[in-house]
Amino acid sequence: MTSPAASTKAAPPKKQNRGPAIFALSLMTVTGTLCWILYGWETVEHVLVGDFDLMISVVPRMALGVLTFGLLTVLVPRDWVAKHMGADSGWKGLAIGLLAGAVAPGGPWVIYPLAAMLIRFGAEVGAVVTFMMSWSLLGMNRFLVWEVSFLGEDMAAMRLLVGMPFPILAGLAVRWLWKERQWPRIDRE
Amino acid sequence: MGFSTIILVAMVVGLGIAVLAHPERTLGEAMKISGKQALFLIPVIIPAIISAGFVAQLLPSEEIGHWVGADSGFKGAMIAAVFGALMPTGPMLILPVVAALLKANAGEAQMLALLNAWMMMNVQRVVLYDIPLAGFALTVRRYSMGVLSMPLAALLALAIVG
Repeated sequence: MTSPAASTKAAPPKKQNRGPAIFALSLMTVTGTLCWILYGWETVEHVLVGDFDLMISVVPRMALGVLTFGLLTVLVPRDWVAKHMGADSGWKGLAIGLLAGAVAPGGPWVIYPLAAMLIRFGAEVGAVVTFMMSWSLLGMNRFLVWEVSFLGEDMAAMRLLVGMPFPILAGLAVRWLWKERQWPRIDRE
Repeated sequence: MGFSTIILVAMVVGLGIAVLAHPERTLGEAMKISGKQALFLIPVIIPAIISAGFVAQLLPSEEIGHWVGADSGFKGAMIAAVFGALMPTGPMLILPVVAALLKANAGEAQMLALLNAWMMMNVQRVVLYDIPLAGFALTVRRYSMGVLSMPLAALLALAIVG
């Protein structure tokens, strides 16, 4: 599911992973039952109505995110990734990861497959971890849309400031802790 | 909310045009990847959203506000961070809860620690997204970095808020 189509010949066919769906369904059942027992059926209905509103706002964006992922996967030039984020990319690889993470749009359904794809295209793991952490901590999309509106500008800015050093530190630490480079790599055709 | 949707639509249109213009890539190829991804995500996202509502209902917000007040210091920040790590994913859930906690006298530094912990070491995100989408090896690396960074982020938050 995360393997880029252009590389199907190199990637072994992967079974569809059902674990996450089963986990989500179990979580829904357990929390729903608890709500029912503790607060009664009316509360459950009330929550479901609220969830429906949430879904209306999330599902279209998720669809757009999924489209973005497919398009990016076929577009991102492998040679470029291997060259600029590869094993010897040093500070440049970390800087690219930091910037890309901060501006990357979409939720985890775009970012994590992209991270897996970068690794398979030959990116170095420290740069990829910086990318993921940067998206988590410094993502501009969420900062502008969600944090500023709920926390106010001052609190949101402080939050961003606190998060600032960690993507790079994490990338450096990963490089230092895991020196091995045994990632399955898709070589360019 | 409308703003981010517009940005996403613009991205999809722009990328779509780029794929059309690319001599060796086709839209069909991209749509196949997107379709697979969607089939994987639909049974995960919908129950996850429903659960998020139930969890928000089950949380004892007032008591939590009491535990992580402004004078609770590093210990309060760590409690808040654990809470942030356990909160189900989604800015649409955690930010309203944090706003409510701030009103219930939670400390600002403690809430910064909570948000940073939520971003760096959220448990639900690891199970739902990191492992299935990024793979186990990458997840171990990213998550362990989150766990190591979290207390430092809490100290930084305490220093900044003062």
